[in-house]
Amino acid sequence: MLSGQPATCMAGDDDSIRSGRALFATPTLLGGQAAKAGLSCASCHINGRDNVHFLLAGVSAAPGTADVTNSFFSAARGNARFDPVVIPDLAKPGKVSRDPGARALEIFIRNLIVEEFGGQEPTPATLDTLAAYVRAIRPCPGEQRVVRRLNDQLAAIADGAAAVRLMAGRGDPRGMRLAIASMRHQLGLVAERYAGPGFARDRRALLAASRELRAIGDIAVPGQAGLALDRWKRGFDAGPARRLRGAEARSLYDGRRLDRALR
Amino acid sequence: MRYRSSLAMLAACAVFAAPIAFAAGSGGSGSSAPPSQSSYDPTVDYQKGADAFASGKYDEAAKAFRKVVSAVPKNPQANYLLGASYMAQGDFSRAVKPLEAAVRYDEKMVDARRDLGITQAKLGKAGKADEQLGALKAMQEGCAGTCADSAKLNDAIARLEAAIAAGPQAQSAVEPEVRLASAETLDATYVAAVGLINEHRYEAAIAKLDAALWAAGPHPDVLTYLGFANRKLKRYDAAEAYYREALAIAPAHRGALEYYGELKLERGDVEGAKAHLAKLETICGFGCHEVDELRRWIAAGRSSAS
Repeated sequence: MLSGQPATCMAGDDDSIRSGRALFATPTLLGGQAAKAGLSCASCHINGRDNVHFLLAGVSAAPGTADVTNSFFSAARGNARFDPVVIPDLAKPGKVSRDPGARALEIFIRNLIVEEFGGQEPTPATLDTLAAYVRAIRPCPGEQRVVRRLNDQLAAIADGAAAVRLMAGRGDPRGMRLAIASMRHQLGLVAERYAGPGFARDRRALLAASRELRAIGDIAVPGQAGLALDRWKRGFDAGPARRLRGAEARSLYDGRRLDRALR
Repeated sequence: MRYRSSLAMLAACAVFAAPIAFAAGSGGSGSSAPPSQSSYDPTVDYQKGADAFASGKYDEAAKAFRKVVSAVPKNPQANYLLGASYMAQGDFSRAVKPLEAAVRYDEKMVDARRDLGITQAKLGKAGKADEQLGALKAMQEGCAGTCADSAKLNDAIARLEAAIAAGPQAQSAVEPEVRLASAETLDATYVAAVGLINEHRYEAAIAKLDAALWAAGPHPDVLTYLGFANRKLKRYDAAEAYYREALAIAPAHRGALEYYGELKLERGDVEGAKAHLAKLETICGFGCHEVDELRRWIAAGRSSAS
């Protein structure tokens, strides 16, 4: 599980879908206990699929299940019963219509964030992008699982940058901050894989990049923030990202090294 | 305290175990530092002590609990169990100090008052034994037979009265009365306690967290939520004591820093809250919910004050 993940083939890759994918993997979106635990939508739905290994004592009955009406995450849906359900694969048709015209999916996602997890009310742009992403999730016909790579995080950072620009374009500062949070979160995931004294310089660079992003998130004027983000992205791609790619084989993205580190 | 990186979270899922530590403190994949930077985890020795205690190996238990008390001197549970371990070996002189500490840091702990009184009686200090008897009787009167500890109080008073009547001639070891819950159910207990907090059922949550504290020892997550629940009940001094104890064990505990910062705000100490935020921002190099929340609280505090 730490080295592999379910494969997903997307029915599109426009900025709205990419933005939704970035926010889907951001714990801050859910708020409350989930955010404190570092859990995002993607924790249960890896790459938008399912997570057959998910197990949380008191919330799960068996691996791959969760009691979504447990007051642990939010009392709004608490039903005082332990009734876990199997975490669904979002690439398969579900109980909620995905017809964009009906907007039932947007309402479902909104209620999930606010009621099931106690998160803040999502902005319209946030909901639109999340729904666009979920509508685009498809299974891959051949390969069912793929290895985890540095490129997963770098692509997610690029998705986050696309989300920042999209939110800026829609005049949505809260969505922008959420997108910035998604990028910083991904930088943290990279840092964890570059463990040990040999990667101290790389971790410092990742931390510095994260703090620069925080400062960009504090810029009040969306246009200026967008320009600052473009500069940041160019610098990051040319500097830390390039070095990280060169060292990926020595990092914990390598399955054998990860296995040894966890023993 | 267990480090909760996202890798650890994934690993926890992979091995079908979800450690307790995620909610209050750590979580936060992508943090720049673990939630706890303490070099010593007192819950490990506490567990060793509890296992030895449950097996009747009181010498081993005392050894483990001594380490816990040395690191967390204000923890009433560890102090009590250290004293009870000495009592079980008939070493009443050594039992006094930890039992006094247990009573000092949890004046409502019936077991500690009972056993401190019995110990004093066995040492021939009838006056000091009477002090504990008086305290237990005051608790019984305050309870008026209706509180959860009512039967326990009656039993404790009867036992202490018997010990005082027997006096110092009965120097035999005292088998402990306390039975420790299994730590196996701790995670589920913790999840249930947080659920109760979310439902604003703070007293019920405190009872669950207290049980978790007995089972697991001074775990910073449990202490943090005890602080939170007490804060919601406006018991600010108790809340502060729990937060401080959590931070003494885990100085970089994100949940404790956030909630203690919120407590400072509630008490009007904006600068104190800002200091907590600054520390959290240093810890959360890749962002974390605790920073977002405390920042939001500070901003709201400012606007409401203006």
